[in-house]
Amino acid sequence: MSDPDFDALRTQVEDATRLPEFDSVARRAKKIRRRDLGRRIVVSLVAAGVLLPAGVAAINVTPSQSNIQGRDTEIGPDQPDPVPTPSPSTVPVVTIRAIAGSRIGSLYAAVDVCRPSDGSTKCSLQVVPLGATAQDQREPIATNELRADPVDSLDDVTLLALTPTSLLLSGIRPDGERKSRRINVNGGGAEIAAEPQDATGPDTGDLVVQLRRYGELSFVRQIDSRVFRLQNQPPIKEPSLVNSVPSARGWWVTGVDPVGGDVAVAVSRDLGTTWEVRSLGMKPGMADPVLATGDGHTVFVFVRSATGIQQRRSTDGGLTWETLDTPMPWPSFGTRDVVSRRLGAVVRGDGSLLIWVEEPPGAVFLDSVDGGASYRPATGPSGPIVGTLDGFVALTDPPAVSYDGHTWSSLPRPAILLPS
Amino acid sequence: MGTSGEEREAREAVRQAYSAHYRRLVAALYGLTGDYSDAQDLVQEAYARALARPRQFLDVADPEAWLRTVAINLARTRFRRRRLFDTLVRTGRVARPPDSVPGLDPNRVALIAALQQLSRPTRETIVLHHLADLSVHEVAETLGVPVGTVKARLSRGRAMLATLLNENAEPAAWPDRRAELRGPALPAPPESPAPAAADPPTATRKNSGVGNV
Repeated sequence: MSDPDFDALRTQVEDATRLPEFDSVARRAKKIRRRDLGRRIVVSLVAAGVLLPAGVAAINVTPSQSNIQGRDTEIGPDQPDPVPTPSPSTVPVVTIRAIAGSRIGSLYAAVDVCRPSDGSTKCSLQVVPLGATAQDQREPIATNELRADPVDSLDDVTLLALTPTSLLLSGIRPDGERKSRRINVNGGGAEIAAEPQDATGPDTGDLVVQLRRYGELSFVRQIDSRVFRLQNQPPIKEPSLVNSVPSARGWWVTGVDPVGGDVAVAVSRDLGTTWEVRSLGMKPGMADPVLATGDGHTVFVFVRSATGIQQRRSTDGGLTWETLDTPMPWPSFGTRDVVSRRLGAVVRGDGSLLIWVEEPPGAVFLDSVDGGASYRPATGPSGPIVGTLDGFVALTDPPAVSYDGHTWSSLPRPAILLPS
Repeated sequence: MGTSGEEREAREAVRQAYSAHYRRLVAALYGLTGDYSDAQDLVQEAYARALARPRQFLDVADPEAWLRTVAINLARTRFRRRRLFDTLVRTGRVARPPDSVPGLDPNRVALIAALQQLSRPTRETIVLHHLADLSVHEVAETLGVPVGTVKARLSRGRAMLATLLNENAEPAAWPDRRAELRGPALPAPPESPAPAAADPPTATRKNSGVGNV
């Protein structure tokens, strides 16, 4: 044997390992608590015994001493070696804000690395290739992105694969404006802006993008990576491009009907030459609508409103829409609580619908196998899900991937650079 | 939040970490100790300590890293306490064959045995990198040593393992990580870094800003 196969070793051990009852751990924890208490008592008695003969007012000193000793014993197991233990004051908080890529083997993550500094929190948004194993990990290809100041907040970070060699990274800054940057996969970021419209228009394979919040749509020409304004914009107000649908299933935009003021959906199946616009008969909600489709024909739209999550379904590619009043059995919180949380949905390869609301630090899932006629609580990864052409990736820690949306496996955590 | 509420929250956090990380931690500790029973015991003890000290566990940013560090510390402590006993076992004066994973492939058993021949620091480095899947930087942070030290240990450890496993094996048989060992030069992206033009990419979901993931 010349090639030690650690992956096979790990897999075999994990497969052979049975998860013992959690109660056995709880019983063990009780013993540890009793042992800790005993140690504290002994330390307190020893401290009192040393200090009292010295004539010191030991009553005030002993508890303090015992507390210090108590903390020492809490740091780790019996007199551990000086190995650093993660601590909130020193360890950076790493948050995966977005993931993009066409296929599971070629993913990139936008990772926020934050650490306390001088009474504030300084963050560095980094773009990192996601390796399938630790051996495939690479360092960030871009750092300190989007923020004008490291202490700035950044909301709604998105990442999009633009061309074979570039990504589009964007996020909403404190002033409410969406900032976008082009990230080169070989390293570095640059400003991106749309050029005046191209006379030839988009071609098959070109990608539609939205560089500003509710702004005009542009397309990225794949032959030269140039970005041009789209000549025919969807005729709706507050357009919001749906990035989660593959271009082959149409270009989908949600927004507001300029006449009636209701939520509207526009779809183009000819690269933005023409748009079909339909009003969904409901007022705009507390956030942009969430649109999900697998095949481009059966389409779901969810809108968070004060009265709950409004549901619409189209089974003809967005030409007609019906209202769904299907109860959603969220497991642990009520309607008012649900609508205040971020919402997401994907359609799996088998046609089932998976919908979630975020519940920090994870998410709670429902799924429907009958086109939204009924929902049931479902298991899922502990975070939102992003689709790829061949499966799904979850924005969890560590990130997880799935080819069918049912079973998930973890990827290594992305490599990061600590903010200076 | 009161103590009982905190305990409930911690218990739930530990329970989730138990389901998510237990098996992977056992695999790493098995590589470290070479004894399956010991590995399970150490990992369970780490979880028990997390449960016994809820405030501390709730404060950590990375539960798996915390549990792994505690389990490794426990293994070190046990190693120190049993040094004489282990010496007697190794010299054959005491019979105590290490407990192995049922049904483990003989090649994997040989790998575990070879790992136990390495020095403890080298073994820890190899295990954290290859079994716990930590990057070189994470291994350095976990062990509290410079990155260069980790790279040197990995290089040395792999060469020793190759020798132990197969006298005719060459180091080149390993997955090629020499670029990483050379230094922190900007890496090339993965082999298929982005979609082909004829294969338009699927984007992130629209509202993928998830500061709380």
